[in-house]
Amino acid sequence: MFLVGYDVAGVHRYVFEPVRPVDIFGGSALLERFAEEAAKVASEKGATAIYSAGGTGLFLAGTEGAAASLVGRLPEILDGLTAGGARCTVARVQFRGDFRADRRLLADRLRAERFRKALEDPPRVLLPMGTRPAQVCEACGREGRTVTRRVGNREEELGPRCQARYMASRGRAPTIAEVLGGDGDDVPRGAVLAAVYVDADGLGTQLAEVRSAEELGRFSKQLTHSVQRAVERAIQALAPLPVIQVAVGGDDALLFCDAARLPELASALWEVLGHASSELGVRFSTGVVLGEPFLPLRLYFAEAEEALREAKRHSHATGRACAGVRALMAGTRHGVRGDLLGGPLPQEAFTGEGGVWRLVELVRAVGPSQRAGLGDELALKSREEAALSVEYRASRDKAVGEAYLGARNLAELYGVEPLALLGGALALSAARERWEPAREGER
Amino acid sequence: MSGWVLEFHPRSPLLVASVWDPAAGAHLASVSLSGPDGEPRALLPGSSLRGVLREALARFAEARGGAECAWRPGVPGVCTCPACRLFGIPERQGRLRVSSTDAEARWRTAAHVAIDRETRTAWRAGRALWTERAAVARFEVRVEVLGELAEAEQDLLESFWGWLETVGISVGQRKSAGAGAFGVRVRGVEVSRPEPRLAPSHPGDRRRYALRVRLLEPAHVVGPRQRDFYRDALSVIPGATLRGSLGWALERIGRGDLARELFSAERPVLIGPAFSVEEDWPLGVGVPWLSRRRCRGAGHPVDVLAQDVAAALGGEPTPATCPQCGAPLERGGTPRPRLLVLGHTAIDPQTRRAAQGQLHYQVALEPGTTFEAQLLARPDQAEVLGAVGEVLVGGRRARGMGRAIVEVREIPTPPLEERLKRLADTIQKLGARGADRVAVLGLVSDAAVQPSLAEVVRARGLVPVAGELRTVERGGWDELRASLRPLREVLAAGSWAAVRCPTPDSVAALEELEREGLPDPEEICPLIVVVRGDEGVVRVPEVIGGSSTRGAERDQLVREVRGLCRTHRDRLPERSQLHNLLRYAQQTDSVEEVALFFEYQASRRELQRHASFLKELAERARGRYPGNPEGLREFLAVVVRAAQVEREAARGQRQEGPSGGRGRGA
Repeated sequence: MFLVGYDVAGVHRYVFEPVRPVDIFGGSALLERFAEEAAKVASEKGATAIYSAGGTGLFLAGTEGAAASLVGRLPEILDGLTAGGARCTVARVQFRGDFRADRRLLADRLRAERFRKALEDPPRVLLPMGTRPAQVCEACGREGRTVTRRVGNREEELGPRCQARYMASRGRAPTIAEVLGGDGDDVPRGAVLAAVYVDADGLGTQLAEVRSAEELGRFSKQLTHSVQRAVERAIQALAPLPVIQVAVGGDDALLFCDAARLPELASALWEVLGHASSELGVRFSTGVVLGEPFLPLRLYFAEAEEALREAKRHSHATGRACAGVRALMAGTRHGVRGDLLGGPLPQEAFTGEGGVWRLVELVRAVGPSQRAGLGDELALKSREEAALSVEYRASRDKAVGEAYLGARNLAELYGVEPLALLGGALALSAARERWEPAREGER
Repeated sequence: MSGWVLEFHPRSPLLVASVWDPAAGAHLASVSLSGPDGEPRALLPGSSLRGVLREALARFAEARGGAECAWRPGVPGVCTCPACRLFGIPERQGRLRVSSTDAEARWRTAAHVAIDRETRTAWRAGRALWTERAAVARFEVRVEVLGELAEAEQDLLESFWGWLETVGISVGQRKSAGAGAFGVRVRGVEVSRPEPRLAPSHPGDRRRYALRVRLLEPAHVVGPRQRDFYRDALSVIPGATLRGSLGWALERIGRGDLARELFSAERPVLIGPAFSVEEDWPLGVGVPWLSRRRCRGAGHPVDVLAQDVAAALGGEPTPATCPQCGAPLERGGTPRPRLLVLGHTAIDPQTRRAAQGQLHYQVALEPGTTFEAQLLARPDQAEVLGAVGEVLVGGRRARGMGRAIVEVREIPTPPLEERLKRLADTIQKLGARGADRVAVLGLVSDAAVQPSLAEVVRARGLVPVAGELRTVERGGWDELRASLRPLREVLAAGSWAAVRCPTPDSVAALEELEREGLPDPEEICPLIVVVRGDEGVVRVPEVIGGSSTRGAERDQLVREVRGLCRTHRDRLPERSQLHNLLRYAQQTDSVEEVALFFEYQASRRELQRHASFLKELAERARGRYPGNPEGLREFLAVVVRAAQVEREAARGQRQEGPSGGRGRGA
């Protein structure tokens, strides 16, 4: 018996290389198709797929010949599907009965194989010297043009890798405008896009302890099923508004949706994942990013990764599934605030009476001029003065008073700064507000 | 080199390069930078000002009988009108460079509403309500002449500046609503630069230097063009970009020959990419090593280099948890530079408003950030590079982007033997065999190694053992040859490879490789390596730049005032009375007069209950604010708010009874 593993190098880089959602969606679909094809080929060769998803896979082959054939075939399949856009490393080890030790050995082999390839490979030329801009693929800017396709009333020239992506996604990916409730490419004025990235915490460490192939296979199936179910529920919660789903890993979900509908989407996701957590003993953290809809999705993803990392740190410290919320755009992109709410919060802090979503509604009830003043005060460099000014405003305006009381109660429960919470709620309320004029279409 | 300084005096708040600012809850906020005290400073991007000046000059020149500007955004073609000659067009560089500038600002957040044209009232049904955060600031902008101006151009510009001084100028968004109006004063300046010392002093052996680049303006350093409208901002400054910046700086002072001697000679200066660092970091620690981890607990930085090498040599496996707190380790610990997002558009000279479909966002490296690259050079070459002083990094240089100061300092490097021994000792402790003959090559440059890294190390008698190599795409524009360089996937800086040195010759070869590096035939990505010892890990912040200083003085004042109001909680005057005191203080610059007024109020029978509080105010006015009426007004403004808050808190407590409970605003 032989264990065969594959690992696609730079999944995130490959998926988010292009700018347009349709091409990103296509890259993600190609990797999903590769995972399916790999399992199918393994089965044809008499091997059992333990798991195959999100750029990694593990198989148990009965004979050395089957294992060797799989090692040779998988890179060819990926190369064919992605037209050389993505590359994978495949390795095999003899299965000697100790599943954990053999998997560790396989991981070492994969690492060594990756190193060997990078060491031996000469620099790969993507565009030769003197290539004129008119010869470069319009979609990614990283390969030569080879094909022409028609988009609406104009022609577009692409390279083979982007053509493969486009063919994989054709007709299946909604546009950003459609996600935000607009038509075609017309983004509703003032709409805000949200990226929601959910991932299981410390899964690698947990899986490393699994003692048998059957157990690991069963666990992987359950996990994938739970994540899929959560995503389906979230998509249903927003229907008929579409959601873009991009696969970037085996146990995670990355969704792009209208920020105004974030509470519904996140609540639906967390509800299903909450059940899965208790069944599988896995905790899911969440990173959320809000931003202008015209930016490339890779910027959202990079920021969502940061938010998720921070949320995972808090989840580790508190033992509860946490969520972090960031904004992609401000005058200064990073560092001014980091997390919009002052730090990641447990997911239960968002939902229910007295939660963040309710606080956002309270802030929305505040008059626009009061909100403008509140924003100014929250940005004061003296925190004492900011607190005094907000308290003063709260004593003079009922709606501000209720929002501030809500922020204080929530802050007391979860040990964060009330002013930070109020500021975050102000930002989230702006994201909800911006949606409405265009949606209602009253003009 | 000559130029002008344009002083902009605000007549109305400025809203420029605006983006959504969640921190202030504003739908549109004028772009800002973090000042050293944490206070945001207003930024006036050179690109915005250049567009406005260009458009104004085109109109001015036309009115004086000059040619009409024929350039249209997005339409290829050449125009020779004075505005296009002086400010340039995409196909041709102009003769003026407009710098970006930032300034201390007062920030104004205001709610706005659209008016329904049918009802002539606020368009509430459409909920067209939004908030804007604008800056009131005084800017000084430098306009430099690149090369020489013809006499007619000089005359035109002088008249143009005079005209601007008379009519002023409007910059940024909402100009038709009166925003962004400035009065202008112009003065001519002579800009002189120190000429680098050219005589090679002591050629000597190659050494390792740190090239520190401090950005004075936003820098536009980007990846390949995508979809004709987007380029990714890079978080590093590639070596080829730095080389071009230094070469161009020498070219600008008429020493292009020196640039060619430095970078195209038989043994050229080799430069790696620059990574963001803090100013006070030791030299040479900015490389984002792939062996670097951070724990998920307290964020401890951990470098697993020795553990990885030991594991490859049969020692203990690399730990997955933090040695300090036991939390899981994750990749990272590499700081990112601060990025700016600027909204910008092109002005259509025909319609004189934002051109259709020309609204873009551009991402730039934030000014104030310091980057560090490593370079291999002879002492005399390093001396020349160090004398360059000011360079322009990246693109959009004529539009107020990329101005930076460079500095060159030698990196202290311990002897090779010492580093090898230190690593060997650590690896040996981790149970590895044969550790004494192992060295780790760390790549400090993005390297296009021909034919491959494996061949290069084997040719020197070195045997690869283990490592972590990653690739990155590098290419770009060759200014000297005016053509695109090849775009290649090359080994990324931060990668490392452990090699065995079986013979003394191979150790000597290793030392030579570290000292000399390997040039890239395409002149983009040379191989620069450092033999890594078991060096400590520098704790790095996640984001480079910025400041955590908050208004400590103001905090103290607010705390004091709140304490004072709490002490007199039951004897506080009504809000209207306090406002009356503040109004009085606003009408006179005499602190003594204000204090006297407080005492007078305290002496009135109907205000007897508040007398002690008023007397204390009078005492503080005399004691703390003699000759400082502005400070006294600020103090009283805090008093008005604190008194209201404390009064409300007392009322809440009285209503809830002695058992307490927390009332609103307590």
